Amino acid sequence: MSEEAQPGTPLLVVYDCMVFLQGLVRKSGPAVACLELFERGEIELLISNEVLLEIQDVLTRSKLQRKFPV
Amino acid sequence: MTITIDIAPEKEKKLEERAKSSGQSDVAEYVQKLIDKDLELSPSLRELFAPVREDIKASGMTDAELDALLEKAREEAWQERQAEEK
Repeated sequence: MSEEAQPGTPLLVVYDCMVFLQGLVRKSGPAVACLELFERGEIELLISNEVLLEIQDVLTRSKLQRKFPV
Repeated sequence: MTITIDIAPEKEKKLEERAKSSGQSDVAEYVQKLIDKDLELSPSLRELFAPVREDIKASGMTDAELDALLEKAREEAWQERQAEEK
């Protein structure tokens, strides 16, 4: 992070696909903490269609679906 | 409705810090906003994926194994996209 957010103004953040993937399927850890920052409204998440498609692509891989159907 | 709860000193300190960082000086007001937010929101992504996490826990898969599985799936997806673009 290169800047501090002003009080009351959430910091703008971009997450890599893996942060979403690990944050959703793990019980705890840095990625979970990152998603919880967003859920608490402490950051504003910037996300592109490419990242969303990548997340969807990975989660619907047959390898993962066979193990853990979503 | 009035609710009285006991909050451990270390949690009280964190709440004060969070209230301050979100521009509120009053912890009670901050907690009220947390309650409002919770009641208004539809299930979060984390909540929606709770059954998946339970399945993973039941499988006995370690975090390292899970990370490796995700990395492999991501790599496969990337390789396929690269092949399609050529």
